Amino acid sequence: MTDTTALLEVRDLAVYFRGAAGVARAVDGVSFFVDKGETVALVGESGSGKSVTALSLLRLIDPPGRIEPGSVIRFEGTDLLALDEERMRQLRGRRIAMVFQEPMTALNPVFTVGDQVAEVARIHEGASRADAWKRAVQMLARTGIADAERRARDYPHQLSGGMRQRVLLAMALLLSPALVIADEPTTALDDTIQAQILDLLRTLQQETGSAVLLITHDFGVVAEMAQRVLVMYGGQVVEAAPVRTLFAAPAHPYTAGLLRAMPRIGSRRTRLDAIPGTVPPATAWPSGCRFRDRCAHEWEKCASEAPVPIEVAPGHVARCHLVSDPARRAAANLAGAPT
Amino acid sequence: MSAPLRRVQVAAVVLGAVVLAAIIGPWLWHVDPNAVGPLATAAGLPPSAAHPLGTDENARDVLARLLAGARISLAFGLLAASVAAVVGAAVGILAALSRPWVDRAYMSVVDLGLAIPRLLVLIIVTAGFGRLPWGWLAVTMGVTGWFGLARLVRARTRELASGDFSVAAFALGAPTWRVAARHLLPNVTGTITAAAVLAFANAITLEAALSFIGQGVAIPTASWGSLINEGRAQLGVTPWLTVLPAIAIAITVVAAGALADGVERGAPWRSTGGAA
Amino acid sequence: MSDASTALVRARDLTRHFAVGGGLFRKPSNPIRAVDGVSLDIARGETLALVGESGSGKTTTGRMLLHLERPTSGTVTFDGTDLASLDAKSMRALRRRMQLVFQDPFGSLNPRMTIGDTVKEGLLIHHLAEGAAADARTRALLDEVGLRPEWADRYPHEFSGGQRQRVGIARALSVGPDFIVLDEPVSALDVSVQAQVINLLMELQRQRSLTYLFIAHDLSVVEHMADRVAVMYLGRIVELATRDAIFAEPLHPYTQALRSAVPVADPNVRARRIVLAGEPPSPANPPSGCPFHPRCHHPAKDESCARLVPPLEEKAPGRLVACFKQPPSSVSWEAQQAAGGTRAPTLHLPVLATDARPA
Repeated sequence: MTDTTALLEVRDLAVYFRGAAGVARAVDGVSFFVDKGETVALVGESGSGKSVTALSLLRLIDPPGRIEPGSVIRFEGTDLLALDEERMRQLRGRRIAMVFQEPMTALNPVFTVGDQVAEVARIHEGASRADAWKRAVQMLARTGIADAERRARDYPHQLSGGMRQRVLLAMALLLSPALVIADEPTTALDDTIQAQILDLLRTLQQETGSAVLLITHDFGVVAEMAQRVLVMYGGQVVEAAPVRTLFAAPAHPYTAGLLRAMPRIGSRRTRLDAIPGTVPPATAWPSGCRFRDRCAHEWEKCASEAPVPIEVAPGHVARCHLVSDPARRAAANLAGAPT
Repeated sequence: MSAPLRRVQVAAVVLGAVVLAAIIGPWLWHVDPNAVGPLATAAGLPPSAAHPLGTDENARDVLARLLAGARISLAFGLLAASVAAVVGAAVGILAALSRPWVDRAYMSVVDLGLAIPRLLVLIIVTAGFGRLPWGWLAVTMGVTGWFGLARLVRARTRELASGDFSVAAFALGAPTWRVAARHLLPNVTGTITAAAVLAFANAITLEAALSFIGQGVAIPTASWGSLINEGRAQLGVTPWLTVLPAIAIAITVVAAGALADGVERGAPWRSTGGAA
Repeated sequence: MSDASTALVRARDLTRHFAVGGGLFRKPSNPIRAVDGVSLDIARGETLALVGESGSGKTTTGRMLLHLERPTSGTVTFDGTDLASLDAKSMRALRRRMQLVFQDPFGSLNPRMTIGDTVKEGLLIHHLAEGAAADARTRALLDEVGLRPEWADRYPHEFSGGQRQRVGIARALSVGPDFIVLDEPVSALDVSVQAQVINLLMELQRQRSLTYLFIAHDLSVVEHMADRVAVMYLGRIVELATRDAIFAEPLHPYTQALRSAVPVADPNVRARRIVLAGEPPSPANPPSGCPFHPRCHHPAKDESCARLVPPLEEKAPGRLVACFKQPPSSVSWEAQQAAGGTRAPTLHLPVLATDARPA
């Protein structure tokens, strides 16, 4: 991969929170890239650091959190961490847009949804009031809101959860940003509405050519939406692979464990293969490999030496000592689907 | 995260210092606050070694009176706040757990209580009964000051009572009294304490206001309010007589407000672990 | 429906209305019909899943079965006893036999009580054990749900979501219930922990012969846990069948859509999706006739669907479906025509199987 072609390149990103309980290394050495127009899923459980990663791309980390020196975020060739606040503000919403999980809190309750969509065009392109309103209504119609002219005059509380998420997508995609960061955009929605919103996101993405960084914990959503997948655990990307490779041949025991822990329709088992234990707090990652105390394949090296990302195959990287130990890896017999 | 905690700590220390001064001050500064000195030579003296805060127009030692006033004012606030907290918490919790029509009846009383200007009621009471002993005045202040607290407690209790852990207790077969005692009261104490601390500050200011119009704690008993009232006639000549008790009131009220804020959020106490 | 003699819990025509509005300047509007005529039987030892989207009335139904919420009308019978006939004291005594596990691992534990005291409370209320014996039982319960007994003195904030959920399960088990309403017990948990809790619940059911009402919206978890499934839409049951029947061949158009909406965790498979038009309507203002008709994709949908309320009727042995466009139906074609019907009922079974995506 080269710096010049990637739309977004993140290298050695570290975000620490310093508090009374010690230093929480929420994101600790994350590197990845997103190409133009592609959809990359960032998967992880709570506490994995995926949301903090997303917020740091927009430099929306509040104290006591801090993006540590040495982190690199390069977007369209620009070093985002070197920009002044004004230039960064101009970028947010115009070149990089964000869609949040909870549409009710992401919208301002005292303005109509039409005004809020129009506001994006007014801030970034200085559009006139009338022009911005017209574009807002058009965009709302494109997100499948029936009778958009009338609905634009509604306040957020008058809309259902699914409709509000459509409004957020309209705001995010109005200016055809190069990158949309979607943080669990369908987690708060029912399945039938989730299906609608995912369809809509795909359609709008095709129209605008935007790349999407989709943050989720749901492998069903990953399989449906993403071309590539990044799996996070303990503030690090533990595995990165094209989506089919990841599902068919996961190289990290955590990925394999998650895939086996999920119940799936059509493959009943008497017991699910759960991953034992829980995610430790970000102030107290284990030494060496951060997953080792939950891992079935741990050996001495895992405690003494922190694994680095190793290429399993072109485009497939895993942060696990098994990758460089073929005998053990064969014995571990990692498989995605339950048998 | 730590800034609000620091504020609460400072408030607690300041309030603690005021209370400590009131308790041990008169014992350390062993001067009779009501002893009248020779008027010709010792009235209205500015601060000096013999009288660190000067004397008033009756040649009484101001420091001694300020410390004695602290005792009365703090005790006054504490008594008034306790009465308000007990009555308000009882009414709030009972209303929250009662049938809707009983709840509405309670709340109508509360609304009525909130609608009547409290100072007016106090003036009428003190005018009607003449000068009350300060203890009775404090009780009166508590009895007229629990309405807002009851409303807060009721709202919080209702929220808790429909919350999952209360429903779980009902589902276990716990009778209502048990849910109230084990699940609601311990979780509503933060709200009660915060409101009571505010009621405490409120009572001290209200007593000062009453004293200012001559209806407060009866002279010669010193309270901060009565000190202000005594001093105001000589404001131009001996300003410290008015300013010092006013500062004492201001410090106490601001510190109490900050403390109440901290107690309400609960954060500094909760994060210290399980014992809460 | 299952045989009456084996049903542990039986609900008949349960309805729950909530009054809304009625401010100073507004007239009270129509009551919200959160639950509107639900009947079901839960057999001893089975897991009945209650599935539906938010606002479908599943939580309210679960709480009415436990009489934690009073039905506006209808009856609940538990092991032959009509709950409405009990006085407060007898009802509290009966609570030993029916318990509840919550969705939210944070709100469901009293933050001011140690987890030991939380688990012990039921023992004390029902005088099942006192003093040292109660402590011993508490430790045994913690051990049974996979928590260390010595953690009894700790407070909820010291535990993770999955561990708190285990505490909630231990609390429910403490009184030795026959029946537990599991209200989305794993929805708030991460995938790895969710699997642990599902395994625990299934093990406990085997060991203690428990009967579960499992309220859920995640169909893949339902398929894993349930024996039978009831699907709710807008306060009503629209389909009730065995798990295998409902997953292999859902008959109600809503169940079909719900089944097809589940994302498939396999990038080589493309789901054939039934995309529903519009949004679920508000229970305060439900559509006339069939509650699902404004969003329905059944090819025979017509005017009669907006006029006639479809009864929940048996389409095959043990399969209850509320749709008169899926034959056979007690609502005759003549009756449908009289209500404006123009399209004759026809069996609609959309292909929900999945295709391999071209490589």
